[in-house]
Amino acid sequence: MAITKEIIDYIAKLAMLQLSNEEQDNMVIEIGQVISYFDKLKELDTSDVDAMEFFFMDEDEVESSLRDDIVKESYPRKQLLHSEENDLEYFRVPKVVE
Amino acid sequence: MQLHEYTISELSSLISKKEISILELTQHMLGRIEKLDSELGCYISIVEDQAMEQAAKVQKMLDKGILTSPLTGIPMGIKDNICTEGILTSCGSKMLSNFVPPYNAHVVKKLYNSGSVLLGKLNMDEYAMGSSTESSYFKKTRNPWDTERVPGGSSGGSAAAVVAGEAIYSLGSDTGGSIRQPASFCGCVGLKPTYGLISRFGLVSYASSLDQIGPLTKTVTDCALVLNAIAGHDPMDLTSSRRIHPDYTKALINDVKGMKIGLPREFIDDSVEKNIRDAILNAVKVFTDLGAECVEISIPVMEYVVPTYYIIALAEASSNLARYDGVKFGYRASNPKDILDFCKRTRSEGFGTEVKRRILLGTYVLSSGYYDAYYKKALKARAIITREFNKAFEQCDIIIGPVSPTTAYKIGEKINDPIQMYMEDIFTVPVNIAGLPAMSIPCGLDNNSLPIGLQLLGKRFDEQTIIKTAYTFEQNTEFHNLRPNLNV
Amino acid sequence: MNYEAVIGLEVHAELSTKSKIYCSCTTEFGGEPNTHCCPVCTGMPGTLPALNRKTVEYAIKAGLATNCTISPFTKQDRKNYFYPDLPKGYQISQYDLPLCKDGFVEIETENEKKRIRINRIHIEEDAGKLLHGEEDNNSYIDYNRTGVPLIEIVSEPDISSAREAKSYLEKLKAILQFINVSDCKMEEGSLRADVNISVRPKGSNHLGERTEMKNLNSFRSVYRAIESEIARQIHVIKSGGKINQETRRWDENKGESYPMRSKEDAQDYRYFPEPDLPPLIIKNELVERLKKELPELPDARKQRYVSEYGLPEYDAQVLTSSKELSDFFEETAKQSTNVKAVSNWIMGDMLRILNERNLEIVDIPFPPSYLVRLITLIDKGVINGSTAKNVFDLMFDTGKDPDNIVKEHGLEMLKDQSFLLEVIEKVIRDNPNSLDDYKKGQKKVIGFLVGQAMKATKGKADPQILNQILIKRLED
Repeated sequence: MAITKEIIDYIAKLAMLQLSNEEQDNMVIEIGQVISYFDKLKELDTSDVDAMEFFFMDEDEVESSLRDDIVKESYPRKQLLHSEENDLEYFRVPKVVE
Repeated sequence: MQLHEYTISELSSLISKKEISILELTQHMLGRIEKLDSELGCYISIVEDQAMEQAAKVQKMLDKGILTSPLTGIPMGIKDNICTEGILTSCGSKMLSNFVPPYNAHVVKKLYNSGSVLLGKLNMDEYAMGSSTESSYFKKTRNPWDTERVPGGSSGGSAAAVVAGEAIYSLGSDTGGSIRQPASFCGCVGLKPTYGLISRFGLVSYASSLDQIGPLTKTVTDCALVLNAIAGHDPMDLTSSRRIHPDYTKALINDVKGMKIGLPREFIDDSVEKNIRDAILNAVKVFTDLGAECVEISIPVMEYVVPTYYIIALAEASSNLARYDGVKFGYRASNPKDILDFCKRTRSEGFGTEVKRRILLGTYVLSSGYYDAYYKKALKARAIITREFNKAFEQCDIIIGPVSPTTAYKIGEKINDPIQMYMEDIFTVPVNIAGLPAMSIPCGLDNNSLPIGLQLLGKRFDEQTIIKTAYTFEQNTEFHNLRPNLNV
Repeated sequence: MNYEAVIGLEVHAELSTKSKIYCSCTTEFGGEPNTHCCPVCTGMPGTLPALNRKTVEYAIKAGLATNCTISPFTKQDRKNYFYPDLPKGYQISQYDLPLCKDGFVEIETENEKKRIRINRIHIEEDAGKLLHGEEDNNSYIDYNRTGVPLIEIVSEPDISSAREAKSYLEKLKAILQFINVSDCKMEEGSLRADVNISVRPKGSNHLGERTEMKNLNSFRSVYRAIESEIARQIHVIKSGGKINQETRRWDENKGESYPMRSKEDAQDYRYFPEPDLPPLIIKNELVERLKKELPELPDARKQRYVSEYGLPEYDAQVLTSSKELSDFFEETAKQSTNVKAVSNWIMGDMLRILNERNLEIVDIPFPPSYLVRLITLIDKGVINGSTAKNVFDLMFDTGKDPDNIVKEHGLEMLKDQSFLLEVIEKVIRDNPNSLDDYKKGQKKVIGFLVGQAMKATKGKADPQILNQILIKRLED
């Protein structure tokens, strides 16, 4: 399947990226090339495999160590807020319209 | 011999015998960086003051007998995608060019606790996405053997620093070869441990199911020492293994008698430069002369490993890099019109071209309508590739081969050909796909006097066999003593 | 043509674990903005999620209590979308292998029990809160709630009316409270519902185009929003229009909904297995242990109230509608010999007072034993019924025990015959015609005179004795 400008537009929107016209033209070509290279995988017979097989291959390792429900001290707010305005109480962003 | 030329084990003995002080050693290393780094560009940040303070503190603790690790007082460098509290952790990106984490990565805590002294943060491809360190936002790192050439990547700064004596050892990260390939291009030892052996907490994620931190050192002995210090379960990383790891220095045994060494025929085909093929075959001869048996094996699925790897890595990356939107940390676009403009421009201005390309590819393979054909297919291929490697290991104890089909290439030579760059990862990526450990050790020089790396692949959690085999090679050859001529 | 509604609910309940789902920050509600946060829940680079064991256990309990199958193999997935209240740019949720599936709960409709099937229950993390600046052109984010564990309970579209939806939600709330996995406070957002609604001609098997209604923060909202949406859809169809598949936002103040986004800009969430968390293998031993830990559930308790205490179905239903109410009843009933009275007091005066004073069960200022003593005072004839109502009010005012209140205010029934006779004499003197009326055969005068006498004794007279004396006096 050929990568079109529309597809690049669509995935750029999903990925929250804004491409210049030049970038967009380049991506159509480059991503198109890489994707057709990925298409090689279609030759591989995977009919006897479950997609989750890899994750369950080593059950000893899967047997997971979950965290105990214990509260620990949180971090000072100043260290978490954006370094450019860490004297605020909130993370500040341009107005979000719902 | 100057201090920066010594190994960890040698320096450790000098320090404990009080023949040198940690301050003196740290001072020397900082001087070395001062002298060389403007040309080589290994470091993004150098933490001179902290290093000297830490050196003084560690010396005191050593004198009081509180610290006795083999890493006590040893100056190190850390790749700039591993979080260091209070120190810029940029990932080689404009996006994180102002990011100072309020926490240390698990491995950094462990190394601080062992008394190792941090010199600075090492250059890398932006977000570890590359194999030449050319995509760093800050600078290009040069190969100490030929400064017109790349050091490999993405841990290019980590490999070049060790070889140039700008750090006694370093940490890198390896998602598809990012420790082993620069180790091979620069001529040092680089280990990508088994997935889960080392906590990833504090390693800025590229592809979570493939990323692993590992050491770059001058010798296999040093590698075992650093591995001892950083391995082990971390409750903050649920993908880290809870099994007790052995003392890896116990595997430093000069003996491969009776060992079965697998050589996949796909690893020495025509795509590999002749010099490299010859060096690998020479290594095989070294081992067989020492009593090992070489088993010819085949891994037919090799032709699918690169697409499988890239689909999985980029899918995960597209999601892992979603958090960089300017809201919480990092670069922010100025004068935003609204929230959408703010996030979009922040990301578009903060990320470099290769990162954007990979985010777009990863988004594509996960998007509705393409998920099954690419991402899901790659998950299935991953299981098949893993099965094949498990099967191969029924016939041999270890697999050897090249690290890369080429030696270090010229700066700028391949940066504009993504597919070519991706395809050269063919010998390193299967290790990450299957979660295996693998090491690169120097095994010769090519016609241009550039280092060649030998790759040793082990079974899951069997770093010992790799260490033993590599150590034996080192004890019976001189390649690890080759150093570039830096005219200083 | 008649239409019927087809309704499914997606209910989010915050689990009452102490720490968040993937880090050790507190889940406590409120707090100064961004003070219940750490690098993990604010999504800082290099941080990783560490799943809270209790989250898994609570979700399994919720599954068991709603007759679900617990999946032996399950995993978490990333749901990718950008929104400033979501620090990582993805929410960790569950996609194709939810922890619990194929369950049901039973609700009471007007004339029968109805089974509402549950498609799945999965775990996920909550997002932060977005506030909008009044004066400036900014929004502000508080990540305290980010990472509070949630379960999402997805029903099959088995619900056919607003009333059923409300019953279903009440039943879920009662179950989650009974098994102690969520406090289900809708006003604090710890229980939230999204509703999927479509309508179709009655009896049709064909499903109509559906809309999703978001932002329903109270039982009242759920009820009103469903009523309003059913009416809107029927109106659209009857006027020859078409229903758009869209997400609508309910405005509780205006009592109407408006479209948020249509199917065309539906999100492409790009779900994939969360690579930072290994899959979960749920061992049978764990499920068995959790099964044993489950307390008596609302339905079982209701049955017991009918069989053990002989309460009517309806009363048993009301009393088991919330854990606090049921526990209060249970505690009182255990200590009392007059369970019927306990039930009547709780269902009647207590719920009325709570409602009037806008109180919750937990706000009741006295222990259940005080209600037991109040009932004993009546049964022993120390006070009469109408005084008891006043005493009960005073108990709510002061938190004091009924014996003390009765003593303090001198509320014991007046039983002294000579005193009561004096009162009656005075009442008759004040109403001279009443005696004549009685002699003319107007028996209703008795009621009037008793009322007057009661008034004169401030309601404290023993009504039985009063009656006897009065009749005797009138007959003389």
